[in-house]
Amino acid sequence: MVVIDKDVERAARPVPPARRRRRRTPVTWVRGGGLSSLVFLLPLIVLFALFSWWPVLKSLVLSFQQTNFIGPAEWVGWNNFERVLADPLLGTAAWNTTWFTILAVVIGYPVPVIAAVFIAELRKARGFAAGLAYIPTIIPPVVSVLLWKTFYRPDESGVFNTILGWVGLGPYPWLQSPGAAMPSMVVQACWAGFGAATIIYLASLMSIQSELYEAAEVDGASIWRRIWHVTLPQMRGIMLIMLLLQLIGTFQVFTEPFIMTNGGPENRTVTILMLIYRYAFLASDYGKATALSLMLALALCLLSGIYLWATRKWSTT
Amino acid sequence: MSTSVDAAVDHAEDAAAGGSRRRRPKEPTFAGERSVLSTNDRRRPGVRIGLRVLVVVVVGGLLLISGGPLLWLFKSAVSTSQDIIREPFGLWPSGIQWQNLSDAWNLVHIGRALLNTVWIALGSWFFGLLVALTGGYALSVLRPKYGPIITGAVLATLFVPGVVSLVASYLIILDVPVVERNLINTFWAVWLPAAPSAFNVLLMKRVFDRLPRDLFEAAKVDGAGPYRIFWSIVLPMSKPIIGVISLLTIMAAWKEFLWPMLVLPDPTLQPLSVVLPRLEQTSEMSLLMASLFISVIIPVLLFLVFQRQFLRGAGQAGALKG
Amino acid sequence: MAKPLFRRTAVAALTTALVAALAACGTSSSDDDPASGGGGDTPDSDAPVTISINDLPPTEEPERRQSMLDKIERFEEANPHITIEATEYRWAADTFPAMLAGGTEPTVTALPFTEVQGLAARGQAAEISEQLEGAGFLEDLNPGLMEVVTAPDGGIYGVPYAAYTAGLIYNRALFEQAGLDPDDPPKTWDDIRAAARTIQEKTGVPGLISMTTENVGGWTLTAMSAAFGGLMEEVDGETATASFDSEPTKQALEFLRALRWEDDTMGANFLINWEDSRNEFGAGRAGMMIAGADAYTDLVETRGLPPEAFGVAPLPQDDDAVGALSGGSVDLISARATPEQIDAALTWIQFNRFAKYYDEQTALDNVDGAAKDGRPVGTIELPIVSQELYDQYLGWIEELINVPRENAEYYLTTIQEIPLVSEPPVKGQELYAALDPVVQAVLTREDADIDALLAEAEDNVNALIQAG
Repeated sequence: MVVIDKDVERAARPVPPARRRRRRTPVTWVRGGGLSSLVFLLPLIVLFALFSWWPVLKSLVLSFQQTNFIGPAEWVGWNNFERVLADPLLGTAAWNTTWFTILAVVIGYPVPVIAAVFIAELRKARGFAAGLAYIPTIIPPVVSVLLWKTFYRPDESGVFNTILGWVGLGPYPWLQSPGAAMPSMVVQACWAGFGAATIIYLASLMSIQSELYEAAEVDGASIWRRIWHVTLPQMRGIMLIMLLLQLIGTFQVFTEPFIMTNGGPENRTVTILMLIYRYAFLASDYGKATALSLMLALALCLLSGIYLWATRKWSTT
Repeated sequence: MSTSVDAAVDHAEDAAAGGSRRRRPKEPTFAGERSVLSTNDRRRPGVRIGLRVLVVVVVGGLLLISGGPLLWLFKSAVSTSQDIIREPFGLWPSGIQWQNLSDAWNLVHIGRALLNTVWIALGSWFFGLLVALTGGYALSVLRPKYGPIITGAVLATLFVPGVVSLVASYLIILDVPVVERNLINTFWAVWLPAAPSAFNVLLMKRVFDRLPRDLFEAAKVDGAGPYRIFWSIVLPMSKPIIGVISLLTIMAAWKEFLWPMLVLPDPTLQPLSVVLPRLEQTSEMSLLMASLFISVIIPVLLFLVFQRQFLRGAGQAGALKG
Repeated sequence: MAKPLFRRTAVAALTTALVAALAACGTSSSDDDPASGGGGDTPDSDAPVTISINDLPPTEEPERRQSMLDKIERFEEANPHITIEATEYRWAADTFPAMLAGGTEPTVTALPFTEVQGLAARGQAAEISEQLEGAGFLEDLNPGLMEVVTAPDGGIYGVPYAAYTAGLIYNRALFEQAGLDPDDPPKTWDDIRAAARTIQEKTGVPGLISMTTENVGGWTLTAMSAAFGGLMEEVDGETATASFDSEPTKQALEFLRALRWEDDTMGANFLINWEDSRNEFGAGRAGMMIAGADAYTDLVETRGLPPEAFGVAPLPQDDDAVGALSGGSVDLISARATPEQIDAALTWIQFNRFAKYYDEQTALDNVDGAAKDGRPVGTIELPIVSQELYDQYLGWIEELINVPRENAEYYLTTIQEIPLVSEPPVKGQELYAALDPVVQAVLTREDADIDALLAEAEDNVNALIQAG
């Protein structure tokens, strides 16, 4: 950073008369391309500084402050963190978020892998199937959430309840039921997300070198053994990364519970991010909100660290 | 994660460059040389029957799962509210209601929201690409002395989860330092914070790193300055990766919900994703369905037309993530 | 010098009748009576001051917008040193914090009762006790409503200008369809239960719907609990304790449980926010709901309920009831306002909200536009001023009243006798939020343990209150 400052300073200084030209003058700097480097870097530096680096630092500051924006901000030490920890909803939200993540891994993680392996075996229909699988991803998340919210209507004439009614089941309350609300939401989230993951796996499958399969075939490996010993090991790297990205994403889930249930019934779908939203944007308690954000981020970093450490042996790359 | 970024870039470049090693040009989407099954396997009767079943199950299942909800939406968009609620699977018991669509367009201003969405996506695309292209070029080709520090600072942001900066970014938008402007209710509030994407910058940098440096030296000898090299050599040579990043940026902007909801409280500026949840609260079912329909029809049509590009982009997105 | 300055400008704003009212109360102050100066004479010393206000109707509603702009013009003519900047901003829970944080909130913002205590506690509202003393209408304000804007420290943080009590809103058309007499609304909780059953049976429409999310579940329970005899918070000096783990709250929840699980007369959707409930009721898909008695305008104007279908009754008051939960709107002045702006704001509030109670022409001018456009005039509300002033006002505009007030006769004749209960003053929103899940539990789980739920929620709220 020191270096940057020096350069900015130099750039800002007026260009001295030519007779002062020596080895390290602004003129040589400009002639040497220093100025154009800076011009090209300017959008990056300005926008990263304002909207990427500064917010992180500001978060750190805010989490130790309290402000009502009328008077000056007040330093409050760990008070914000203490108040977050004293919130009885924190435990609920943490568990809900974890539960969402677990369900999403159990329901949502294997489906794209299986779908990709199957689609890869199709010949003529492969492109068509891939296109179909991708359609839910094309739909903006909010549209998809609202559509599924209608599907989940709890009365007998709700879409899912009508379908189940044909086979004599239901009606079920879906999102209205404290137990079923979260799984229902996860099913929607998995529907919305499976296409993108399928395509990613498919791309990775298609890049497995055929020599590997041929060698396995020569060794007399059956189809299933080939999937087990060639396909899956070859996909291991991308699968591990996808799982981590899914974990990081689902821990920050917001749109689904916000629109579908707003945290109900009985707070069973309140997530950490919803709590942050409520602290900051409904209660104007920005200190508490940033404190919780930092705690979540720390948890995510720990999670990623442990995950990468635990899986380092399996990672092929 | 940085090693995986490198690996990702390898993948992405191969793909973006039209696929020299593993793909032949002009091949259909996802054509591989072979998969688990060999030509021999496919001749075996058991496998052939199994494959037929697989085709039916996979395509049928996907049609139902992916296509079903959309078809239902298309049906409901032109049904009365009563029909949607009472008989979700009745085929227009009260007749087809085309005026739902015009009502959605005129009464609840879906057209305006659509335009806002487009405008937001275009702006995000422009600024995102601007930062990635110029930054990547400077860091990779011009290589100022302080370059590695900036690269490091950009890389570091990859490790910070988005949630950390949510509240702080919002407060910054309310009072942008230096210029002291409140950007609430301006599109800048959506465009600018979306622009600094560490991933796009590093990806661009890596792509530019692979361009032959002799080319730049030769151009320099011919008297081309850094701007000229950027415009006439670097840009034309990186069209495929620009395409990939464009697609990803536009799709991301199209889908954004929480951030535009926070910074665009004015209903006349809100994009579809922010307007629709409010419609769900205030409008009747038929209008909501018609609005949802209008919101998906454009992405779906675009997808149908540019299917191959989309799927390539998505596959590469995965490679990037990996 | 802020005070006399304000007084003179206020006087200038008002008509003769109002001058008299002002003069009468002016004597309570130690300053010289400024009313003697008469209307319209504004001293040169009045420095120009600008205040911003919210709720200017949007351009989509040209008539309402124009009548507001006309009103502002009249005000500025009478108060040449005050400039009003009208903004279209409509208060919303999720947008107002942004305005506060960005420093862009209007000088005067109209917002619901519910918000005042939180804003006051965070130091985001101006304390106006002193200036209000001289504003000329404090004496006439319903004292039961002043509690709403009075913080535990005794300071006043806003001017209530419209009020209602939580009531039983019922659909008169459905009542008739079910063979019930719409002019004889349920008067006990058992009556409500019976009516719900009849409506469900005869019309197939849910008899009673209840809001459960976004804090209105807690609000509903608070209203019901008051009718059964319970207050949600005990305030002792400046310390408050949640006290809703009580018999009345349990009775209220038992009532809901009986309707939901014994009678099944509450429909199938139990995640209902304020909008949802209004939509359902407006579309005729609910027989009754517990809501603000001011629901008429919203239901009829924006949600298509036929005017004659709107019925309202007070919530049945149990033997040991503590009263009716009040709700309404407050003009809140920004904490950033200068003393001069506060004076100007109060002058405006007086002119905008209260002049109609003192002057016949102003009263008529106020409702004239609405009457011409067919918007509701004379809606059912809780008088914000004394009953005499209010009756006089109703007399002035009688010809223009288009709301079938006779349909609310029972409410209007009884509401004066019921004491008013304010919302929980400390961490009220958090308290409501903690009660939402309790209401949801009772409605979604047959085996919900009411005692345990309430005890847990009460502990949670007390933990929040202590954490500050």
